[in-house]
Amino acid sequence: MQIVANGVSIGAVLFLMAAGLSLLIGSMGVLNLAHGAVYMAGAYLGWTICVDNGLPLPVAVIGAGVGTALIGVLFERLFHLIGGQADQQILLSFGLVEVLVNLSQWIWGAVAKSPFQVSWLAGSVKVGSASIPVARLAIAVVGFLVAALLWFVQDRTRVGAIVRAGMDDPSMVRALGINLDLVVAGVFVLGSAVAGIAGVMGGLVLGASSAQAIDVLLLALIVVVVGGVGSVVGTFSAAILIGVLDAYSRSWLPEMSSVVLYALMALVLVVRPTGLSGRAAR
Amino acid sequence: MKKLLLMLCAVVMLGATACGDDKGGGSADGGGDETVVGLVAPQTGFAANYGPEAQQGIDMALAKLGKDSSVKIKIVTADEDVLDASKTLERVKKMVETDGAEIVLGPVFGSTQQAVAPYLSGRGLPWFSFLGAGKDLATKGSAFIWPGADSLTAGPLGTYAAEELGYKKIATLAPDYAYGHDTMDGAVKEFEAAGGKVAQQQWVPLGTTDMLQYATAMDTSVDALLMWLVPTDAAAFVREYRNLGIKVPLLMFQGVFDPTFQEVGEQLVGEIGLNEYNPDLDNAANNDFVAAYGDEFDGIPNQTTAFAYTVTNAIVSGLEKSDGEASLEALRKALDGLELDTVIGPASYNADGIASSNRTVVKAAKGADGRYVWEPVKTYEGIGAPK
Repeated sequence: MQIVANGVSIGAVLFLMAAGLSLLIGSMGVLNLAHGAVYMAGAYLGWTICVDNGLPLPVAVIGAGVGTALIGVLFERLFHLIGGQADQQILLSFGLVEVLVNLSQWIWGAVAKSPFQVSWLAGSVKVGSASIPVARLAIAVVGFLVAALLWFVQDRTRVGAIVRAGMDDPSMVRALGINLDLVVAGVFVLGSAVAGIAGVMGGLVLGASSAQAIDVLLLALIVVVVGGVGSVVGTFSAAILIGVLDAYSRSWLPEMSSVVLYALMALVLVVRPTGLSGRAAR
Repeated sequence: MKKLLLMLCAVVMLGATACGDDKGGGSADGGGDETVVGLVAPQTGFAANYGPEAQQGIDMALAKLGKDSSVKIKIVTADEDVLDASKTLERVKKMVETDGAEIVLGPVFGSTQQAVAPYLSGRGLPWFSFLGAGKDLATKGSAFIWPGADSLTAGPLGTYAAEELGYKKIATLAPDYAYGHDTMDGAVKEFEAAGGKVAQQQWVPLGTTDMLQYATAMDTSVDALLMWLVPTDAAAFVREYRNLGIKVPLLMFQGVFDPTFQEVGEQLVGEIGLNEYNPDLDNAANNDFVAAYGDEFDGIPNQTTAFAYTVTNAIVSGLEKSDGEASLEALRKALDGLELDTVIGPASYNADGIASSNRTVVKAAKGADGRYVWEPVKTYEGIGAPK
């Protein structure tokens, strides 16, 4: 029970990390390697607002979400300029990672920030035989809320229908007179904002460091591969699955824990390349 | 799917390249007879603080050398890649073969030390660890180890726990690599020698950042948890430990350094630690060093800076005694038994190049100025070198 609780809480962080990336690849076909760096920027912004300036956590969540959405606007324009060539997208995002990481080290220094301390999230609650820190519950709640909101927008609104149609047949969507570029730009900004929110919530247990730019990207990619691109439900299911699997492997096979995640990813790539959701990338 | 695979390949490449490159660094007074010293410490990644902090200590030591000093030192630097020792080895080779390093300062992490030591000893090059190392690297290689061998440095914490605190049963927590095992083994050995028992040992894989599972899996029937983790990991663990309401006292080898200590100090007040270095130690050398650091950097030095400063001073003393001869044989002879007045009190290297120095048991407290401090409780002398 304790291990499952640990896994679900970290799975919620994984979902927040990966949700934006999954939508970006699925709806725009953009290989944004700088997604982890956007998460990192959100974590540092959250630290500045919440820890350095002592403002409430919700302010940090909103502030980091807005800040990383603005970064997303800039990034989207840059990706728009270079078009859909995968090699150019990768080179561009390589550069953006370096810029964001170096900027973060310049602003916040090289020393990692410890997990954020929020007094009203201190302590733990008993759920059955498991003790769950309140901060983890908060992360899980935000993760579930964001998942529900994204699912609602994607599956129950006209905008979501356009995004889904754009993933399957962009030419047809454009032929219907819909400004698909504007829609996908909105998805890019939304994905960046979610990454920023993930940075703040993840900061409650992981702190903030420039190394997260790569570490988070790798974890998010594993979630996207397992969950399938462009699907909120697939990403959410994969994130929880990976969180729980990681918790069990760290408990039972600590020496093999990282291997287990990569083995799962490799298995999915071989057996079901479209992931749990079954939707192919554009 | 091709795009996803392409992205995965690119991430692996990014991970490999984002850790930075080696570069030539700052220098002291240049001159025709200068000795080239190469600093190998992390400049990037999760341990990126070590390099700049060590550089501060080196710069402070070299700043003390007057223009008329017989010793002139030039510093070159290389980034220690903590997760890829082979990459660091290539950088050390370049540092020696291209940049002309005659003495190496560092590397910091045990896995890197194990990787570069055969190369350095094969060339007969002296290298000075400033944050510990396995004793074999000195007895069978060309290392000088400060402040003492890893397997002996934490021993006094085990002794103190058993003899002064009366603990009978403890659990341990440490990173799953050479330094973590060596230090814990040393403390456990002394604890068991004093009649104590170890009920549980948890090892944290390198790179782990989520500490909850180690807190939830802990055996809470023990008298204390003996632990060592790098400061940010220790802070993350303590946060989870407190959130879960675990009351078992902590025995923290090295405590938690600043600036992280100031972020989590409130949760550590009253806990016992063992410091190799403590800025609040009251001796002339440390008082001068702390004051000079405050003037230069407007802050309080941590162990990395203090020990890089100390070991650079030791290298200078060795070179002065050897008339500038930087060979392994000359430095071993020059430093053997030479009494060093250091920031942690009197110390010396033995004939194998292993230092013996003081260790201080400390207690976390909040100072009058609101700053969290590790207050000295008891000092153990002559620790670190085999008797």
